[in-house]
Amino acid sequence: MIFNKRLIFAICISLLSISAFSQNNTASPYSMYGVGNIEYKGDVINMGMGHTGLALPSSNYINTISAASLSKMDSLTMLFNLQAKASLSTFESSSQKQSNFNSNINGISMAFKVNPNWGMAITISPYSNIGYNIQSEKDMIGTNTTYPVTYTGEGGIYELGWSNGVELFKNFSLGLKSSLLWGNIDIIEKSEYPYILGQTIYNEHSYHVSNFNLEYSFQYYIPIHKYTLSFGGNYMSETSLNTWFKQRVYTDGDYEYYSEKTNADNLFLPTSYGGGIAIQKEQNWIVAFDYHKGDWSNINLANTTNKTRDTQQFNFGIQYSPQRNIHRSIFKRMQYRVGAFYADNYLKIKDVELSEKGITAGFTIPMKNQSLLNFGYEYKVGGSLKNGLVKENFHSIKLGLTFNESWFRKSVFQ
Amino acid sequence: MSLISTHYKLFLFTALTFIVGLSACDEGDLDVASGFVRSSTYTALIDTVSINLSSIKADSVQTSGRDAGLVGYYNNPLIGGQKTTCYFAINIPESFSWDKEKQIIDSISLLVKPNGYSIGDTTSLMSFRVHQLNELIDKDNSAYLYNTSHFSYEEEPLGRRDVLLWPGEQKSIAITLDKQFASDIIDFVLENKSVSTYSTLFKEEFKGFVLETDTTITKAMIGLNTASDTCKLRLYSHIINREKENYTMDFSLQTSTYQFTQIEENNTKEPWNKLTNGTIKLSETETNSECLIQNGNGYCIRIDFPFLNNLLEIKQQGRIIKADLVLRPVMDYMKYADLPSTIYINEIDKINGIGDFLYNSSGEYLTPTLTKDILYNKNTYYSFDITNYLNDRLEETIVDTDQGLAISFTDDQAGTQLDYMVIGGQYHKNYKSQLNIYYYYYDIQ
Repeated sequence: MIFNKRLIFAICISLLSISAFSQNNTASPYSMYGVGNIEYKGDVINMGMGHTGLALPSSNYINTISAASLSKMDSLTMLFNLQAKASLSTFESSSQKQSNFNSNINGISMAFKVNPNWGMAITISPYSNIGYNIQSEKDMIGTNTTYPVTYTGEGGIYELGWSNGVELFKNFSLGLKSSLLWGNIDIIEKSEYPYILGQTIYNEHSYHVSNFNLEYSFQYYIPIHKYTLSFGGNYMSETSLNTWFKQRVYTDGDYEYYSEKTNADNLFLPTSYGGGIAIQKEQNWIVAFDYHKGDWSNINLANTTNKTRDTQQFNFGIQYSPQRNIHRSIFKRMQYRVGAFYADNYLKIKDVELSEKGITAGFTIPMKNQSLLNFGYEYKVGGSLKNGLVKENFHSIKLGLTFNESWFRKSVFQ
Repeated sequence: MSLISTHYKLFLFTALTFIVGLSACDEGDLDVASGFVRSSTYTALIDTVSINLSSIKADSVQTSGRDAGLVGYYNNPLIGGQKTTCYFAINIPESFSWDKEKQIIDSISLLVKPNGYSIGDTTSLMSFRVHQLNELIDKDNSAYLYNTSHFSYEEEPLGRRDVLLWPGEQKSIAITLDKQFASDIIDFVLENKSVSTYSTLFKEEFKGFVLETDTTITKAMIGLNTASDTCKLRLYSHIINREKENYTMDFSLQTSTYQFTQIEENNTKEPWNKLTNGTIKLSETETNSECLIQNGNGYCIRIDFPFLNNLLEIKQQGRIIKADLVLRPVMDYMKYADLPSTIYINEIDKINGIGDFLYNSSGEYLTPTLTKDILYNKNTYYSFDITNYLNDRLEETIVDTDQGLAISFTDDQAGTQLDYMVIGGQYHKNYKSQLNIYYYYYDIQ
């Protein structure tokens, strides 16, 4: 009976989350190129530690950065995670400023142990996001007037992942994440003619992409006295996204001037790999460092003429847990995190090599039944004012709920 | 693990989803399009698409059954003199009492009633002439009579009167006719009333009148109200018994179907005299780019798009978002106050057959926007939004450039007014009509 309730509960959450996913998760003019702004993976806990996670275990949360980490889950628990993100972003050009607020469901995942050595997780999360709104105007050729044009980008690529982590040997695990990537990139140019027509023309380019991809990972733990040193790594080969392109030109009154759906040149995701190292002192301290590389320079993105470049990403994070003892005060039982990161942007825009860097912080409030309420904060700056580009900064907050349901533990008293 | 706890969590999740999940907002504008956006769409105004204006004249316009007639002479500055003549037939008098011994005829007059319309110089005398018809008004199997209909009449007028009319005058004008004419009617009726063929005989004897003006004196034209019982013959008589008793007797006129207005153009200027039949197009190139609308006498303007085929190239990757047909009245010929608030636009075929009206998106007649430039007198124009028309034309399998558009006043004016408007063609120096096409080009990948 209770199991049925839980099932309904899970379905409700999934439905809510999927509907919420369709909202914009980002607002950056840079998201108009390629596959958009690529999201940092991972749980709110990973975010607090500068998005590290390649060498971190999934002990009481779902570390979606490394499938291999799932083998370290508690064998009797069923983890359920829902997280939301809210961002306040500011975009600045040399003369203008725009502020945006966006918030959305950022991920949903569940994980459980298939057998003592094998952990499994199912995750839905954004892979990349497109969201921008640029007001501009164009000259009406042959007149001395202009007309307003708005460029809007919407959509993103979502990832439905099925992760498996298996401890092959003691302290050595391998992971495989099979993902279905799908989504839409909608780019809409809206031209308005308030004086001559009183109606509006939309020129909408939509790319629909989908495909499967595989990501391999490993983790190795070396206990040294009070410490545990761990290593992790991952690898994803180049993925071609099957791409459909649809263009529609239509008016406010839904009068369609043009509509054509074609099979477009595929968009690609590059070969990427990374390595991480973490050191943990008993239950108190964890220090982690990750490095990622993406071979973007080989990738020719069909929907932009901008050049791609190889990317590097550095992540660093620390977690401190004063005490685990449940009799202590809540502040002593909380976990605290800080981190920092640096990442290259995969596109050179107007010959400017862009990157972003940020600092993060976070904490976890433990709840009953080993459930967790996680907060993460990130301050990130990116972009550039060079060549008429835009500087951007983001204050983001992530909120995550990880429920530790003991589905596989029978209660004596019901 | 209680049920409450599950509900509590469900509530928490739901609240979280709704509070956080569904909000987004922007503040401020960011125009970085020049740096960021790769867009190949554009909008352009093309005002060089050729249009050809020409004047056409209908073979005839219906002037009977209008409840109005025209009489007078107007020297149209563009095309020359226009003379209008009103025709009437007399109704057969039925009830008729006359004391043959004692009753004496005083006079007989034709009473006509102006309807207030006038064109030309109404400050000068109007010299009316009434003639008796010597030919029966015959509709010749047609339902109507036309501006071109003509029936012969006696050269010598039966009556005449010179009048100075106030503008807008609507009081009846009485034109005294020859007294002998009155005696002829009385005698004829008394003699033949009992004859079985009385009606036919009367019609043969009294075929009707024409009312015209002496074109050497008259410089204006007025409209007449010809609704029933407004125009009549009035006979004045008296009987002397112990005192003189005056009598008035009215003979009504057949106003509804046999009253019509003939419109003649006697001294038509070159090249307007070339418009001898309805299929002729008098191109603006022959008329100093001045084209005429005068529905009263069947003139309207034809507009052709000789290079419409060239616009097909636009269709491949673009769309006409707005096509404005801008027609500029030549203000040398008219005053701002005389500009009609609306003019009409119809389809027209190769042989000047006028087709359906153009309609707007609400299914109403397409009407123009009138812009007046009273201050500088440079930019007064009617503009028709013919976007739908042009886009539809471009959808045709073969674009037929022999199809065009006709510009006219309302048809109700036929035979009742001679108001006109001169529109400048595409080559007119000061009042140039043109087609403005706003064209949206979009990229196709």
